[in-house]
Amino acid sequence: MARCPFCKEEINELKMEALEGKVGLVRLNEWDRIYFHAGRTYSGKETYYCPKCEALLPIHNEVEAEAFLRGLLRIVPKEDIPKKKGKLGQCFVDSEDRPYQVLRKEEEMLILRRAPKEVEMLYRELDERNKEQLEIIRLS
Amino acid sequence: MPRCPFCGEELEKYLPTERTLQQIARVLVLFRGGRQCPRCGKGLGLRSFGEFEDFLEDKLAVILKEKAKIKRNFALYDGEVYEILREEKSDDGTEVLIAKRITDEPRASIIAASFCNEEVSCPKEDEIKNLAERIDRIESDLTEHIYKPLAKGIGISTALLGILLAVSSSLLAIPAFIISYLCFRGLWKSKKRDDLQNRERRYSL
Repeated sequence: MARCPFCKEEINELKMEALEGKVGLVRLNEWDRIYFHAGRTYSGKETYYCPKCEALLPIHNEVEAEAFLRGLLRIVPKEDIPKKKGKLGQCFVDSEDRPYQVLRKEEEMLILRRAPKEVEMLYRELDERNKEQLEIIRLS
Repeated sequence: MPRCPFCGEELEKYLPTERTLQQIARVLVLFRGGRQCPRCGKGLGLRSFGEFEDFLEDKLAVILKEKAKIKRNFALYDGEVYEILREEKSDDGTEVLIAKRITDEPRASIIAASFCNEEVSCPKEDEIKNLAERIDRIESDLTEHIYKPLAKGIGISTALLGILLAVSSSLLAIPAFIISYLCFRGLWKSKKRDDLQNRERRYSL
């Protein structure tokens, strides 16, 4: 289940806002009435909000929204990330010990996505002594 | 910073500042079509101008295979983690890897830790000897206390089972023989009686 990074509530839907534009022809028909002949429609920038706290989420399209709701994409505020770093750096794992990698950084936000299978396998092969060299951040 | 893996020459200075035909041509001539280092003249193993440009922009790296630690399709070279794209051979037969540097810290840290894992888990010779001795001891203990008694037990039980089968079959054979004997005798006698009766009947006629 996805969790809002701001209110920390579990959510199973997102509030989406998008402006839809129409391109077409306007003419007078045989009864002398105005008539709009639609050519094509297009949607502009999509914005996604948390349905509970109404906070704007750094999700830009439908694919990302789906990944977020499926738990494949995580949004972590930078303030939630501890400053402490391990000998070899930090890594993010979820409750099922699956590692994540950084997709992009956005204004005080870190957007993480599930690491590929190969990296997951390498992580699972690590023994306790080597895990101590990493600062493991558990994602809620 | 892009470097020649053979001579260590910094190649960033050759990066064209503008994508004009003149500059691109100058760089291509300098690197002999993007294949060789302008200083040492050794082959870099790059195939296209796009790749060559990525190499100059430090998006792609050429690393020496013998100096890199390799695990699956990842390499640890000069303290950096790389994802191997392919292997190439230089003109003098030196194997080089065309790789992409992993800049994502969480991913790079896991891969780097996995290389440490390999170093730590590699047992030393003494450890191997101790391990071999322990295995031998366990094996001898197993043969002494488990395998041998088990084999003995199985042998004895099969022998007993054989004897039991033989006795039971012989015990069954005696009554079967008696019954068949009696049956045969009865048949014989009845036949004899019939013969006598037939003879008497014939004489009486």
